[in-house]
Amino acid sequence: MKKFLAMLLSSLMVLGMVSVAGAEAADAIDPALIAAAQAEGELTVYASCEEAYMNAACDHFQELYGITVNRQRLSTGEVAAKIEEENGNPSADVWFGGTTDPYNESAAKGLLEAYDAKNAGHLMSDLYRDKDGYWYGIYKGILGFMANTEELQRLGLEAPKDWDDLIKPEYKGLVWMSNPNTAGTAKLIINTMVQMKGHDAAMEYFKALDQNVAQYTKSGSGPSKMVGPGECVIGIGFLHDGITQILAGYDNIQLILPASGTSYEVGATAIFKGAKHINAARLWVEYALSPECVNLAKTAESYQFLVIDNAEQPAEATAFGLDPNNTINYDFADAKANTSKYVEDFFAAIGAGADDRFKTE
Amino acid sequence: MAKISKGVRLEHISKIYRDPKTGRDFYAVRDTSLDIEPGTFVTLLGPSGCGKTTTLRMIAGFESPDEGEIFLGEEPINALTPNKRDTAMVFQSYALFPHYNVFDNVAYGLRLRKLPKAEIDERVRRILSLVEMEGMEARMTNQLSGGQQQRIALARALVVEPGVLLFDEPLSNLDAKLRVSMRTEIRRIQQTLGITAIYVTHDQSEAMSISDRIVIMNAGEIAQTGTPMQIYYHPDSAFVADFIGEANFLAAQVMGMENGLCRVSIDGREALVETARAMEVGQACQVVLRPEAILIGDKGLLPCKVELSCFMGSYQNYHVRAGDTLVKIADNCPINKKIYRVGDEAWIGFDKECAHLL
Amino acid sequence: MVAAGAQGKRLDRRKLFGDPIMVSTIAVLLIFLLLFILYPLATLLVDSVFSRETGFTLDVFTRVLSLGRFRTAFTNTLQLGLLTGVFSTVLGLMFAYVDVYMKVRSRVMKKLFDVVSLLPVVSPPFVLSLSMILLFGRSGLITRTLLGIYDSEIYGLKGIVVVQTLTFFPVCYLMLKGLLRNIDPSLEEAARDMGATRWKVFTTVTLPLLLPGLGNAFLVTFIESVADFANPMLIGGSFDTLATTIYLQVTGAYDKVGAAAMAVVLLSLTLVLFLIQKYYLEKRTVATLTGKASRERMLIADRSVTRPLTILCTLFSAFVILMYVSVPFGALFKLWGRNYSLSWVHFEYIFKYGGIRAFRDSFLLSLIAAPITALLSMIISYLVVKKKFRSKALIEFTSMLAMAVPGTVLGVGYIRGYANGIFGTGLLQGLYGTGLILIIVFVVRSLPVGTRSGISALRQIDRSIEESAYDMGANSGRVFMTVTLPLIKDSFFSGLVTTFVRSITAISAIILLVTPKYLLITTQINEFAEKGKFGEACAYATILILIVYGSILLMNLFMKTFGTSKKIREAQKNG
Repeated sequence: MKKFLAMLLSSLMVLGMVSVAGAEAADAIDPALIAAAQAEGELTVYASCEEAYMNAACDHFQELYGITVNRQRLSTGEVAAKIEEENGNPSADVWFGGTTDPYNESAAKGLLEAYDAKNAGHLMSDLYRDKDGYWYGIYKGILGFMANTEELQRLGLEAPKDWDDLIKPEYKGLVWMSNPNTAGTAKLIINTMVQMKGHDAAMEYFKALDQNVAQYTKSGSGPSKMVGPGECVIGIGFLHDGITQILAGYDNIQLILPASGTSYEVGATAIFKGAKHINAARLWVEYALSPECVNLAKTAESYQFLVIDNAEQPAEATAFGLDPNNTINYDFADAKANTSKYVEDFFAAIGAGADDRFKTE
Repeated sequence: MAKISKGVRLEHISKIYRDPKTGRDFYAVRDTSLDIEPGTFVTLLGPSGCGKTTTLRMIAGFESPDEGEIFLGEEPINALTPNKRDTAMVFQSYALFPHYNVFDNVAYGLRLRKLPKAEIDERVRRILSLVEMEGMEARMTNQLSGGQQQRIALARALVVEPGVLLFDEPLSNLDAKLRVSMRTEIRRIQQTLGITAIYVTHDQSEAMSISDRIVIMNAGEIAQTGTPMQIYYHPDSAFVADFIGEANFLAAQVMGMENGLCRVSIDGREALVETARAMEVGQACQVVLRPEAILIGDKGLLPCKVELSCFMGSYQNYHVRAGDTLVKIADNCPINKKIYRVGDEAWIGFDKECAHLL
Repeated sequence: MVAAGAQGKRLDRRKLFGDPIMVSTIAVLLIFLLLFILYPLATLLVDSVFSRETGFTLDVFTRVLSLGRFRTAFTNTLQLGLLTGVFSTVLGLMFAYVDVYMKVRSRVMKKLFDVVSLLPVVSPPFVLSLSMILLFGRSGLITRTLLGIYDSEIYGLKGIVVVQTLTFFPVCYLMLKGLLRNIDPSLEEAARDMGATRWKVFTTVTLPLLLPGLGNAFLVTFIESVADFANPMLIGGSFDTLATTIYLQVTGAYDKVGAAAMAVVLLSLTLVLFLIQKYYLEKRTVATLTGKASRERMLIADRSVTRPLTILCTLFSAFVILMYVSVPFGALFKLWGRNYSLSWVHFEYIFKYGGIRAFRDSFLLSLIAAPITALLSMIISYLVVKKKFRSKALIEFTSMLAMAVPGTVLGVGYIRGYANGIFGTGLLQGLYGTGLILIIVFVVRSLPVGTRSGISALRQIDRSIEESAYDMGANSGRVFMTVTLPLIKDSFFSGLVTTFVRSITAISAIILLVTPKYLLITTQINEFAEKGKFGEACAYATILILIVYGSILLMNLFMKTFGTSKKIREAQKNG
């Protein structure tokens, strides 16, 4: 018990030190905005990134500005549905993390508030921002496969090398994917296939892939989490989630970049239309676009590539040889316009009405 | 006692209950009127289910009468809750607070009245000495005997100086001997304080020994009200006669009135009997005889045959058959008398003062 | 006579209104129960058959009933309830029979029985599911490491049935133990005496006497199983039950109206079972097994009977304990399945990321809910047992009704009923999304348990004790505070701790209502377990078990020192 207490104390102290170190660097933001935000005193965040990153980012914000940050982790789909239902009277102020497709859908429905972020100047490319300022990118994640090498070896199978390998019959019941109803990741997978293969071929592909899929998880990172423990043999998802698992001790995970190319997600942050703490929300966006925030990611086991020029790229990600530039030219406009339709088509193609593999939890 | 005790008046009180089995309504108490003088000790006596406890609980306020009005002194109290009525009740189970000691139990009512501490101490001490429980203040109630608990319950009720003291079968949980001494005690205290007391019991000897007046209840209605002696010797009905002590009923016919006495014929044999009311000639009636009022001997009014003969200590108990009627006889001090055996032929008779006509 | 009866009622009412504390208490209670139990449930019903545009319609039901997912969930639920009910009852019966009928030599065994019957009470709902995964999952200690089985599949019906049976059989055991004790041994001795074998006695005397009790135990388990959310959630895999489907309908498909209709179906199911159980079987049970056993039972010492049964029970208990023990180890091993070295990393992790917050919030909310529930349930039981007034039946029924309402149903009811304020008017909308609504859910969820214990405690107290206080001039509030409450202190405290324990381990209703402001331990466990971070889930669960066990120890200590029930019992005996 004593040891436990000591440990508890020490972890508290670590948290404290992080915040002290960070406070000095927060200089680039307009003091007037900070003052206005502090006057509001509170901020509510829906985070679609990992729980740990959410807590690290929120706690640090709280430390920096003395603004209470309420937070809840929700899938992008859940957030999108929630603010749509709340229709202009959102129960949160900002959205943090998660791929941009649902952000675009929400922006198209007028549920996001545009903001001209000062720190957006540090973004490495215009690909990482909405042209109207509805959302800004904070990280970039590469789509790929994760395979459990031990399981594959035991089953006498090769690891898949490309998208088309996944539909081979020998992988029947071994593949996990996420559920496009709830996970932005799955929407990205659908869009990627549509853009790489064309709409109809993509739907044929998913129909075939469906034969091999054991489970569609609610969260985009669901499959990656289950590869290490062996519940899932091949998972489709973001490779940075795989890195997290490998670093946690699952040295049986192999990361695979599809040979014919893949796409990436841009993790974003945005302000909800009708946010109750608008200045705190704006301050959050500035904060999210600063090294203060994004450099926390790797300390919280999130190893995505960062998209602002003054941030420090996670050495862990480059160490695994994940080239951030080996990606297709993702058509964001098409994604923005057609994602909802593609998802419908996806379900139509695989005939999911009575299918219980779809995990929405 | 500083306060003057109050009278209680019931005017046409009824209480209706629903039988949970049949779902039908019935009168637990029906059209009952009663006037209790201040300072008297009145007992409600009757078999179980006669409505006596319901009546008491209506006076205390735990039940509300469905008809009629109850007065405490001159004040109608139907709408008052029990805590606003100037009554205090002593319960069959004593109902002492098990989490309080003796002192706190007795002081409970005084504390509710927010009396100064010194006065509470003084009054509790005085009342505990009245019930002969001084020195027991710190005991928990579960460390007391049944009799002691009863005294504390009484003290707790008395200490608030209620206008009326209510007793709900307070002695029925005690053993026979203790019951006798406690009832004497209750009567002593009641008389010392001059407080009005309404006492519910089903034990007739208790009622006899303790009361100024007895109210006999049956099936929700008052059967008779009177002093113990009136009730015993002049019951108004077969029910009362039978309920109070034992009674023999001999069927008879009125032959005529003579000097306030009534001449009746029993099995063709004539006898004179006292009666309170005038009887018509030829009317069928019953001669009520207490077992101890019947004389058994070798001659008498009616012939009989002994069916049971049993030595009871202070008396010899006989069951004899006279004609078709079974007659119970208690022959006192049998030591100097002839003892009849089962099967013996004998005669029974009675003194006219000891018989009563219904 | 009718008109005459009215006077008494009118007077009773006048007396009631002459007692403002009483009246306001009843009013507050009624409002509370109406608002937080009846209203949300009614909303579900209205929601699923009424729409603003088209008026009364069965469209939602038609749509939901035609959903393949829903139909599967419905049959799944029944199947699960049936299996869990049967297994739990049989296991419970075996344990109870061994406990009551057999000469058990070892004291260790008796202790084992006690532990096994206590464990499910103190452990949060996920614990068994977690250990099931840890021990028997794909990378399970037993399946993979010890037996070398690689494709063990515990997700699904099989897994849930095992976990639920282990969770619920102790309830059956305790229920049946009480009943077996009440069987008069002379009945069985008479049968033995007439030449029946032990087995014959069991099947022709013991079992028939016990039958309503068995039915009762079965139904209680069935209801619990059907309402269970956490276990199907965690190891259900693709096996969805109504409870999880409702949750998914809200959080996954964002179809709250559909969820409301599903909730109505689930509620009707549990309600019917509850009514059968409460108003039919419970009475039958009492009717066949009245009174106490007349004397001590001659225990079975025949080794050919006792040995196999005791061994079976011991093994089983050991298994249950193993399941519970593996959770703290799951928290202490570095990486389950790969690296079994001891480490604090999982604890460090949870405390680095929100752990303190989660414990603080869960602790605080449960701590607030506990005294409120304890007091409310004591007041309700006081009113139910000791008072007469018109709305009494309503109060009693409603507070007991909460027992039959699955948490998920209540959760959806609150969303539908309060997200846009009462009847969509915006009234009380502020409640939604606050800690207050979580506290209210905690209170409502624990109210029936507290009330039941309060009622049985109060029934043992002589009515005249309170009447005498009332008679001496105390108003009803005063009577309650100075006499009633002190006399049922034990029940009050157990209500306090039970509510705390139930609240801090609650998930089913809460998971639908939790907001960014509050981080709760149970939702964290769910989150981590779902993501495969079993070490962290186990770390949370371990601390939670410690908290719960600590509070129960504290309660026992407290009751030993300050408890009144012993005194009262003695006093009653003397009186």
